[in-house]
Amino acid sequence: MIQAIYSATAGMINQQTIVEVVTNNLANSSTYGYKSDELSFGRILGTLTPTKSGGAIYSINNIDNIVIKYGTDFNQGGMQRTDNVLDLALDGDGFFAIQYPDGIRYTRSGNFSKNQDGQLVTSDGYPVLGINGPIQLQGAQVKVDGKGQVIVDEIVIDKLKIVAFQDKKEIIKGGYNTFKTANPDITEMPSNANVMQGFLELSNVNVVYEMAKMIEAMRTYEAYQRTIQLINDITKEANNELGTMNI
Amino acid sequence: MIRALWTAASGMTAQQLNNDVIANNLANVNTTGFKRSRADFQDLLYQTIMPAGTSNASGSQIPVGIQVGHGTRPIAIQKMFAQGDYQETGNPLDLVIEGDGFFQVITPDGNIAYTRAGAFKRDSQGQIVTSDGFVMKDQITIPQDSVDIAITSDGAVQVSLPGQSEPQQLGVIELARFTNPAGLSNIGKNLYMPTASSGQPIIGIPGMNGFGSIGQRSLEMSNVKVVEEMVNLIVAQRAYEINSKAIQTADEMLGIANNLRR
Repeated sequence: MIQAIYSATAGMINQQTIVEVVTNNLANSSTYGYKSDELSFGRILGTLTPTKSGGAIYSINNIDNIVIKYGTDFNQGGMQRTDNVLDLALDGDGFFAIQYPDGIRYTRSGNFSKNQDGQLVTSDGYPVLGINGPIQLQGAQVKVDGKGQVIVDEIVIDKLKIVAFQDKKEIIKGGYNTFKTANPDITEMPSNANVMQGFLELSNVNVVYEMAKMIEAMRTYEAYQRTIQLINDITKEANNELGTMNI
Repeated sequence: MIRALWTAASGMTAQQLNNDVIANNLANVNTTGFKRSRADFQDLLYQTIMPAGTSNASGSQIPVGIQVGHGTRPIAIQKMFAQGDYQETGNPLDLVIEGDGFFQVITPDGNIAYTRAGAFKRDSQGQIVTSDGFVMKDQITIPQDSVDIAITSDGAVQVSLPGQSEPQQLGVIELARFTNPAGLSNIGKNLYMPTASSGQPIIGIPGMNGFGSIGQRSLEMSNVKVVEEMVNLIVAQRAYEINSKAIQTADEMLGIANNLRR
């Protein structure tokens, strides 16, 4: 009986985490280049123990055996036209490379600006990398073509470093619109993404889907609560009624 | 659950700020030389509940971990220096900059401020001043008896005086440029001040070395596009609403948890 209470409790905690992930997606529905996260839990996998009489007992002793599906949805977000010269969007698979103090991070959020030295930087002030390192923009007219070549006053000065990855499972979120990798040996592949100047990639959060998911998680949470209440009632019954003979 | 409450609250706060920025853009839809702004957001730090590569009970590795984010925050209010449309006024001291650059004016405290609003006037001494009476840094004084003022595209100010066939050159209106104009600080009154991130002003002659040229008898209108702002407003309001729904859900779930024991 007690076992069932713990299984239901684990269910409640899991649904809570789902709501937290959904809420974070909703909070970032206006964040440029944001990629939504998805968390779901599958059924508890029990183990079958054969009995002497030939049947099997279904055991759910191990509540660790839950199928967890977590992942970031790297699908393309919509495009918003801004006409700002230093707003860049990637159409296709790939990331801009950013020099962080702790190494290179990746982003899809191309709302860049220039700092006081004319370097191309993110909103946080970290340099956006080109093939030859940070990009210096000195000149009147800055153009970025579809391949990511940076053209200042009709002269190609550098090419944006845009990388793609074979296995995106190696990429985790670093916060502040960045992605990073925990694997130092990961191979960066050149990206075929088309660079669009004067555009920004919108968040790819699907608000309707997230709303539905939130309702589902809340109702499942409620069902688990009912289960716990039911187990509580049964246990109470067993404790109070068993042994009394007034049938 | 407390996490979801604060996450959704960060989303609501962000949308409020978004709304503030849009409202200011809309309020300045008729402000000469106004440059619209845009609120930029980014996601916050992630808490790793289960790192990727953890072994599960049956010994196999979980391919992806679980990371829960903590919401969003405003990171920048980006100024958009796209050229505004021109409006023909016929007034000889209404100037536009076609391209990059700012007019320089002296504020009453002696600092130099920068502006794109070229609706200049003459004061009682004949000096060229802004609508607030701030003197242009180039200190051009127009003689009282001048008949016509001509300002060329390279900023040269010439007047015709009665009895003289040749126009008289009074001076040149110079422009200032910044490495990072988006880093300028707004001080109101259509003026900008340099900051550490904008870099030092670069002074030059209009129409040369990347500076915009000056057009006379016209004004630069605000670059706010009303339709665009209205759409942004709808998005901001709906995003605000949906974050409030997330708070309601989190609250209801807390209520359910509190009712576990009747």
